[in-house]
Amino acid sequence: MPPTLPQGRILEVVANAGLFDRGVTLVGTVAYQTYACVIGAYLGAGSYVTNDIDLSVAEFTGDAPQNIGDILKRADPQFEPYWHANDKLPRVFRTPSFRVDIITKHGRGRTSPVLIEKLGCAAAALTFQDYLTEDAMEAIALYGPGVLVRVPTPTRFALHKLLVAQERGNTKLAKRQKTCVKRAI
Amino acid sequence: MDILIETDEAAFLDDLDAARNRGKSWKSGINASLKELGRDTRQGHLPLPVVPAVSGRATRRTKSPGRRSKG
Repeated sequence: MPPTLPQGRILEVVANAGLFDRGVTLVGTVAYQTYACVIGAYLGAGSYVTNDIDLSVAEFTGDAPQNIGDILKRADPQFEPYWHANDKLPRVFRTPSFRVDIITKHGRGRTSPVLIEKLGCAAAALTFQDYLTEDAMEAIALYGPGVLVRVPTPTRFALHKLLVAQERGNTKLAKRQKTCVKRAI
Repeated sequence: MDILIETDEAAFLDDLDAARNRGKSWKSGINASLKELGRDTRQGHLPLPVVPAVSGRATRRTKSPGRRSKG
């Protein structure tokens, strides 16, 4: 299933800014939607529409700093950072109808959020993100002439869902992930 | 997962085992999820059932259907 208009616009500006070449990986439902072309099969759950995009920044390479907030405003000028208590930099950017979450892997101290100063944001550290984004691959999001994005391999995506479904730290999240696993199967 | 198994079962099972072998919590997490989903993909099982060999007596050889005796 192709991304919706807001999803496509965001993917396009993120790709044009070169973030997928610098270590940013598209994860979550929108990444899942690219797998139909990768695997060559219809994925029934691909029609599952979401109003958010998850960008995983396991590492951000290169020296030139960029600001993810400014980049997202190119897709929709209504994008504003959403601040949580004690946030030094934002890790969520929202419009009235859409949100972009920045996530990352756990560091040595297992603290969250993690500051990504070169990108002008923070990121929520989640378990097993390193496994998900290792060996990420390129795929095409079917928006406009096609947007080259970086996504986890389909196998790792499926196995990551199996792993996080058992995480009990956040019951709501665990339930949501379980639903995703069941839908994916 | 069904599609991945259908596409390349061996590769998927290899990745599954590699993930399980990353640690005890990984193994238990994956196995618990598979159990909840009613899956029987388990480590160490051969994909096809194997009939155990009968010990003690030699089995009688049968002629292949395409072979004919002379005369």
